[in-house]
Amino acid sequence: MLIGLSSISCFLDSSFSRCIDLLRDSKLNYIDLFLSPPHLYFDNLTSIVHQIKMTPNRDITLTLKAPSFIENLASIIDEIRGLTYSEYLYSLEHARKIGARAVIIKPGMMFFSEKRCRAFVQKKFIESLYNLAEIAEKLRIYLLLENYYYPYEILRSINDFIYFTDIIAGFDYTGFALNIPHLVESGFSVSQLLSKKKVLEKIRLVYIGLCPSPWELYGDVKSASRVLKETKNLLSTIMPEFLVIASISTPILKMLLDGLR
Amino acid sequence: MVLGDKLVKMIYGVSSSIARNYSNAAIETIEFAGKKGFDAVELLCESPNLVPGHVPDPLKNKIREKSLEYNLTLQLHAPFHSLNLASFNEKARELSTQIILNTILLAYELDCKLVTFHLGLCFLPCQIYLNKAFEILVDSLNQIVDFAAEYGITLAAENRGGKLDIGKPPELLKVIKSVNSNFLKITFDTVQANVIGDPLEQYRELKKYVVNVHARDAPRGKDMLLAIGEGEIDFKSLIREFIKDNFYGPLIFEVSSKDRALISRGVIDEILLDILSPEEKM
Repeated sequence: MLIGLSSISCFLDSSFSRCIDLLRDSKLNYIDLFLSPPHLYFDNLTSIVHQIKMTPNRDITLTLKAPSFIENLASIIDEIRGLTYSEYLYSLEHARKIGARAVIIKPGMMFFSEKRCRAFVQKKFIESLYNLAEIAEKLRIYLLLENYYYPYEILRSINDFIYFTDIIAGFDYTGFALNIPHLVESGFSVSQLLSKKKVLEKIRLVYIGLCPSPWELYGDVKSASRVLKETKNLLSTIMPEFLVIASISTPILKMLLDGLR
Repeated sequence: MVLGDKLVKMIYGVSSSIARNYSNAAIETIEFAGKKGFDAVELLCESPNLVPGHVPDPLKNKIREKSLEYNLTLQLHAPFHSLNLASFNEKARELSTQIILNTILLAYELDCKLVTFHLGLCFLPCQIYLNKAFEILVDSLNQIVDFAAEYGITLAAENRGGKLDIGKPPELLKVIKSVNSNFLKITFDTVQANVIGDPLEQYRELKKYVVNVHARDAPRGKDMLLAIGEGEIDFKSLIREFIKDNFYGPLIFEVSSKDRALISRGVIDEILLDILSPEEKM
């Protein structure tokens, strides 16, 4: 299992070199690139990766977390689905160019309108997902679906994981990025997953950080012990290929890393 | 109804949130509103056949005809899920802007004078670079407000209470003052206000710019589409304040069913009767 850091750890810095320093200081060789302007986007990705690869004596593994804010593959609005699809496609293409081993995406959200037209929206969503999954299969790059905690997220609960496991069963390179803080924030625990063998087999990457989310500015420091406990519970059963520690705060990063080691 | 020497007539409307058949929400809502004596309809532009830029001409014609037939004032609510006028992602921001511009065009084609919209969302980049996010938002707003002004359409930014929503009263006031246009006003949503605090206090902060109200109810802190009286909002105090300010609507009942719309109107009428002095009741 490769343990690494999310590039969100240097989100506040104007230069990417702090990420590289953090990796070196933590004795890690893996970074998950968080695509979000102004930090990192497709236009500066190649130059940042070049900077990473110029690091002497380091063979650094990369994964790519695709843009994941308003993006919604399940949107009732064609243009939103279109923008999301194209960004996820670019992510896969750029992953191939830079040698990233996985692309992590947020599957989507169902709001009031999407819920009222569920069948219509679901059909479009599955078409888009399968197209991306086929491309990931051809490129031999993992396409990983990340769970979120907001009530309208389509990958949130244990049942959602079971549903998606069936949907993606035919794709070897499509799986899950299990975000443990999001799972906890949604009111679930790893122990509820441990009996779901087929779901566990699809978990390729794990995110750990503070609740409610590593992708928000303010986290609950008291949640760290719960997240670590859940993570260790998971690792006692499976060994995913990647584990990413994600926090904007360096002391929190170090605390979580120490807690894991 | 008469209050003192004033004739008080609230303008009541319904949102297409009441529709049962969501793929025919616009016509279903207009028919209901017309037959039940409402004055206005707000169409939420997120049902499959009402997404701006994709509305078939026959439907536009039917919407216009039906609303004329029933003498209804039409308003639009622009798409808002997955839109963000303050996004640091240029593609996302451009798309959000374009969808609002398409909504303005649709409003013009349907003879609507008002479009309600949401300002956007504050994710991590915005949380860190708040000033820059504000600049991006004002830039987007200037673009859409100028466009709306060309078509004589008023844009109303809705107050929002969600954790990631941009639209708390100080934020709304800040953007309105920065944009400084007669074509940018406020839609006051009672439940969104109730999510974060006292709706009456927030209405008082925003009232100078309020042109319409989303009237619905919910328990404190929750975002729901309940009828007036089913939640915890003090509508009597709100209505009293509206009358004091000579604001008579439109009150758009953004509720989840037709029954809830009828109940809401009935409750407001009762509140009005309560507020009026006995010898002036009609």
